[in-house]
Amino acid sequence: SPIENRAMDSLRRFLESYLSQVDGLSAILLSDRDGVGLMSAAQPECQWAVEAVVKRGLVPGFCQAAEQAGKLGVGPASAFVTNYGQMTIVLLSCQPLVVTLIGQPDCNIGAMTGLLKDRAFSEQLRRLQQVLPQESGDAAGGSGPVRV
Amino acid sequence: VAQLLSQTNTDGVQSSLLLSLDGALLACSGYTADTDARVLAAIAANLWDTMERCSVNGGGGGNSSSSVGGPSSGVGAGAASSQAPAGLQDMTVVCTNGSLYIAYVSSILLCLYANATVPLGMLRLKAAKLADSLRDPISQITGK
Repeated sequence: SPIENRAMDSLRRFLESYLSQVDGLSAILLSDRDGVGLMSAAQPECQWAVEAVVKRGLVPGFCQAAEQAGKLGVGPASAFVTNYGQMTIVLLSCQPLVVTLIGQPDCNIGAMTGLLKDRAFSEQLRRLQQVLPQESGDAAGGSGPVRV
Repeated sequence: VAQLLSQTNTDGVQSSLLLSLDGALLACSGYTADTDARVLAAIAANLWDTMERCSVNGGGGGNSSSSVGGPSSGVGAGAASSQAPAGLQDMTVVCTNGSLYIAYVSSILLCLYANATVPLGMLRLKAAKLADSLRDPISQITGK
């Protein structure tokens, strides 16, 4: 419906605003824990990276690894920062969402991992979390936005 | 090797480990809390393998480059390259009460285990300096 389309466009523009605010941030992907994309925003030349993240199953892999990391004895895993050479990918656990941030090799990792502390961003995530079904029995993160 | 590893175990960095890609513990120094060092090594290798298999730009055990991270990432030295290496270079696992840093160094993995007080940048920097010291000796042993 037109109302839904406007809401989706508004959310996409909201995410796109962060691409210019965070140094080196190229793309943002919001998905569920199975890797099914809900919304994404990307620089035109980096759209391929978003598609590659989905195709390679990075989000389900992160969730699986985060569950393993919970056995380290230092609490549940809230974020992964991975350096793949050509890009840096930060994955944030926000039950039942996963926020994937794709950046250049020299991106501001601190700003990316601290994105959940941004009031506007966390508020948008909270709204999405409320409409998505909560999953039980997950070791990665807890209920509500997980702050890094 | 343990003595070299122990040099990073200060100011919140609790332990440093060297492990093979299949999770075998090669060397360890420090305190690993309630987790056995061998278990920690196995978990670290599992985490690495999981994220490496999902590599979005090619894979293969940390690629042919022997440096820790790319030149522009600030982690590790190595010769400057005009083309960033493919595959997983390093990863940081941020948990509620601590963090784990894993990096690929000359065909084996370097793992640092720290409590929550250690800034991630400091953890990466310590790992980079340690990797610089280990790279050549490891390359001589492994032949890679």
